[in-house]
Amino acid sequence: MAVLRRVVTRLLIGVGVLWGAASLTFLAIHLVPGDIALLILGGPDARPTPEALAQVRADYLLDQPFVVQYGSYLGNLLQGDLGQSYRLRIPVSEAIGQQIGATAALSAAAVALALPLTFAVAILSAQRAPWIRGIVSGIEVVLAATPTFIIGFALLIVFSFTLHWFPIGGNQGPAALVLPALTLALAVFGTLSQVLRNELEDVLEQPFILTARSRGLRDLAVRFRHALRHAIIPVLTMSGFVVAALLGGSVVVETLFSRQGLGSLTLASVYNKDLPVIIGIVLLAAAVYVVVNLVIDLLYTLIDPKVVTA
Amino acid sequence: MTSLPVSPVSPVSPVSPLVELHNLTVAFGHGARRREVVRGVSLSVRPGECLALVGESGSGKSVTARTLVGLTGPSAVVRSDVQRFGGVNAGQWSERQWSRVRGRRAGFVLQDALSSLDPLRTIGAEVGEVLRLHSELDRPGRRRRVAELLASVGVPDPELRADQYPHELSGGLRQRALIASAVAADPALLIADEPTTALDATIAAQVLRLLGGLKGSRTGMLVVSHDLAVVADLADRVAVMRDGEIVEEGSAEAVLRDPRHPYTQGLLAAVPSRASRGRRLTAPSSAAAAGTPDRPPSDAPAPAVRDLRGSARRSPAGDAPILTVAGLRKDYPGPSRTTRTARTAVQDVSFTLERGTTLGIVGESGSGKSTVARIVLGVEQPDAGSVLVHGRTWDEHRAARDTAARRSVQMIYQDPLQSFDPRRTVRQVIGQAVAAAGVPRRARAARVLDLLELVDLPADRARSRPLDLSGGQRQRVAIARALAAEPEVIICDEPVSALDVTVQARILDLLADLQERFGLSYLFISHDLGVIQHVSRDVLVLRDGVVLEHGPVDHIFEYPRHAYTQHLIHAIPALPALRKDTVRS
Amino acid sequence: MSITDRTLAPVAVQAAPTGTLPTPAEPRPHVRAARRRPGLRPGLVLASAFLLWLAAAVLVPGLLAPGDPYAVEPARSFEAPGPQAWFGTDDSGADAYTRIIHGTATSLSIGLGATAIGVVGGTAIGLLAGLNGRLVEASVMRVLDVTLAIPEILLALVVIGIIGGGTGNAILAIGAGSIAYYARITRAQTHLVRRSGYVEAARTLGLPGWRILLAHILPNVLKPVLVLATIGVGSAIGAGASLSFLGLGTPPPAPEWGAMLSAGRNFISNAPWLITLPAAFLVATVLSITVVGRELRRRSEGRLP
Repeated sequence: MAVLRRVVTRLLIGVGVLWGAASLTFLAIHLVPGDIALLILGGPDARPTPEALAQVRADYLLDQPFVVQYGSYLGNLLQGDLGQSYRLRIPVSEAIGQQIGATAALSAAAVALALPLTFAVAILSAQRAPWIRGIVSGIEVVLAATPTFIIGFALLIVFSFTLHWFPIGGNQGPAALVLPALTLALAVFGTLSQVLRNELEDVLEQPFILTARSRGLRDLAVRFRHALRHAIIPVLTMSGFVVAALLGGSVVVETLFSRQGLGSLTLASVYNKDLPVIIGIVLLAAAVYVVVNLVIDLLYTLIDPKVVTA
Repeated sequence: MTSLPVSPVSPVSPVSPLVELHNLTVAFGHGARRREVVRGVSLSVRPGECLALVGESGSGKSVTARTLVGLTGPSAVVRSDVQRFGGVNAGQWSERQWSRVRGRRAGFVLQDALSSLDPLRTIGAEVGEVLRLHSELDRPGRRRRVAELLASVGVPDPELRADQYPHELSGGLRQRALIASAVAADPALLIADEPTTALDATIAAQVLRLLGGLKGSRTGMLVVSHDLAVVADLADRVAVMRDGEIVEEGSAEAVLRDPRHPYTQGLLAAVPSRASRGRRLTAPSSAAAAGTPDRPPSDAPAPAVRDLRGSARRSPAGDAPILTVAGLRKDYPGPSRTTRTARTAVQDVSFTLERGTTLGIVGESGSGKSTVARIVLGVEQPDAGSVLVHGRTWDEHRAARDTAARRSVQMIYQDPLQSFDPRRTVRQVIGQAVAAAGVPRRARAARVLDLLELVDLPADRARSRPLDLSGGQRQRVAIARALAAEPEVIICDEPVSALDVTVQARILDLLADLQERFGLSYLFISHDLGVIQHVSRDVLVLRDGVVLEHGPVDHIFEYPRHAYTQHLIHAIPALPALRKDTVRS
Repeated sequence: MSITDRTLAPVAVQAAPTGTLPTPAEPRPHVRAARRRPGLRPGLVLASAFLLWLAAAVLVPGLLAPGDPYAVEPARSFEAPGPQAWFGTDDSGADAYTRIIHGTATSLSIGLGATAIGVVGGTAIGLLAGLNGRLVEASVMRVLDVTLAIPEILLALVVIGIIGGGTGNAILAIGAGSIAYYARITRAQTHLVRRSGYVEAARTLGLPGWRILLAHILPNVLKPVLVLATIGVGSAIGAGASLSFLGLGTPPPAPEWGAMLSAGRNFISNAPWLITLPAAFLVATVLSITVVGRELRRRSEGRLP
């Protein structure tokens, strides 16, 4: 019962976040000077006829007061209509739908690489000899400080141009997925692993760990059976960071590896000021965030008994 | 080698010891940062015997206890001439060998079961873990055995409790569950490290009785505690540790009744109690040892010290109460936001406080005593009732912009550190209060030094930050700041609870000196009946936000009306009476 | 864009928006501070030295690299690193080392400018939320929740999508993207400080509210935020380079590190030094700032109760 109430509350908050994201972007776009009708017709160099401009203004309600535009925008949104892409002349949902698969595959592959790597490294290196910790955390700090596209460059130079193991880009086949996914995974790992190990080391100093050892539990068992569950909690809180890293990273990685996907769609839309697509992607990102947080929230209730009872 | 010789093979014990240590040294760190925390300690525990390791914080008692089961951690360097476990040489044991011994042949109980039991696992899983490791029982068998074990340590409804998490249990039940997990595999040695420290007195007494009952003919026990009274009933032998060494060791009777070492004597004399009322807890020389050898004796007024002016100006007669509290009530919103059932923290609390007297408020955790303190201090609003300082409420003082009245009530906290701005030095902390009291700018520096002297802090501490001071020194800074405000009332909220007994004694003596000298009134809040009896003229017993008793301390402790009060008094762990000649007057 | 090093923020403060996620167990800074190993000391010295050198590259670039960063010499295109050109030359024969040195100022100013916007905007909003009543606070935090739901880079891209690219707009976009982050930590810190024992103690001394605000609340709120901001500068530099790499930041032929990397991408197989050397510079810069910033954080945490 308590869990159900939590889910409903979180869902309502999530809807609020989506509404807020839609409103904020809409507001930002309409507050900034610039003729939207001109944009729709192909930018400042298009030189459309005054009739065409007037037609577009009427079609897109641009001659109406702001409140009317906002109302119709929200109304369309509720029906699942995100509008038409200025550039592609197709519905935004269709434009996003065409690209979402490739980015989802990339993100999934990156998570599948990053999480096992993070957990293995953090669990095995926590509270070890200073030189082990020094090397491992040195690598992590470097990875966390390196912009994603530079990680990608490094992998490209080593594995594509020198060793010729993987293709330099494209969407064809699983081999083309390896380097982009590894790039994103390393970027996530650098930060996540530091957080997880710090947390593990804090937990390993807790009295209940001493108690567990005093029962005769061996070191690895202590780490897996007791410490890990505690350390997962703050890592779950980092899921927002991971989502942002994957979505943001896909823009860079898809550009670097010449891949199709949401990232390259975003970039093309930004180049061309294709505002409906930009809003659509923002809403999608917010929706992903809301859903991920909902899932994380449920995971909390599984891990920490206090979340539900308290 | 300064530790007293310990006879590892005493003639009265025919059985061989469960554990034996000779000349143990434990150090942490390397090179210049190497610290020896245990030096030359020898001890042994025999079946059926309880040895108590007693000492203040930093004495090395916990590290010594952990050495016995190889749990000092990877950063410790452990050396000993002989280390035996169950008669076998354990000096070179590997982690694997130790893990076979732990839980099965040696159980370990830590203080504060809330943090010593895994908060994400049920009680049953925690106790069952020992059985999983050290018995052949299958899952249902373990479940049955866990229930039996919980029942045997006095946990009611054991099947139900086994499925609960530590935070769902009371402190006493948690500690019992922790003990159950330590004895689950029926070990021959039980080590208990501060087993009752985090518990309320009544609960602590029950846990002590439980531990006493576990002391069988086969089981040996090692109890580590900072509290001599706690071990008095339990221990057969007592070893007193200081700075990593055992300074005195002997039968409990001998050590506690007729201590030989001056440190043990001081330790025993420092325990506040009803018997200690009106006398100092520390030898007068201790103040000089603190680093100001040539300061004037505390009864001669230091000329440079301004009089705390409020005293003379406000209540000339001295009989009119400074503080009148009537019908206080405070509700807190309930845990569920939807139902909004309020929890009453304080209900109908009334008292008065007269000049130069101390009113003790005693109660266990959750009794509402800190809420009363905060309302009296004026930082929290009561839902009903009034606090009158010199006949006016805090709101009236505020409206009148009477900052002198505001300053007339000050507070010192259990954890003084959180009451200091971390960016400020001691001089700045006290200086701010001096400035707030209206001392002209050019006189402030001298006034700060006077106040430091008043609380027996060396002047060079003015440059330190509170973080770099010891607990006792921090509390002195807090007292100095309170004095700087020229108060008439100081609310002391558990001011010595976090301190070692000898440090506690010096702070209590300081507070007594200051009261005598400046006519201060104290509202003294504590869970410790011994402290309350030592400092108070009147006492107020609080339980669940309700005043159970209120009157002169002698009367209440002699003729407690309420069953709960009797219960509390009964729970005070008693030290055996010292032999006459060791009591200082 | 870089997945930036925001590990530095206390985890609980950083990631869990109030009302959206439960707060995890309290962070235990004292434990962490006590354990902090001294292993980074040589790294700290190296990092500080490198930052000093960068400062020289910003102030007197001509002293470190006397050449003209815009000078082209087509006859010398794609020269490998050697005594003639330490870091090699690019497709137009421009000296890569000279361009890197002269590009330092642009790259660093993106990081500093964006962080300044984020910190000023964020602390203002955070203080507004933390010091006012529940209603103001709740509404501010809900708006922040929304911006937090959108990844910082996407936020920056949206801003650029609306106002266009270029160095100045990139600074604005990255700065705007980080406002929510600084606002959150400011508000959380404000709450801690407001409820702290020392503010209560100052109140019982009868000090007026504005004195307490100036003497205790503002310094104790701003200091940790500024410490975190030093590390934020590193992330913002990485973000600026990423935007330039995507063709949305500083446009070529200006000697900016990200733009150089973007241009070098076309020659990655025959002139990899056009990638590796500017990349090494960029990473060394972000890394040095991170190392120094963490040291600052470690020291300031030791001071907190």
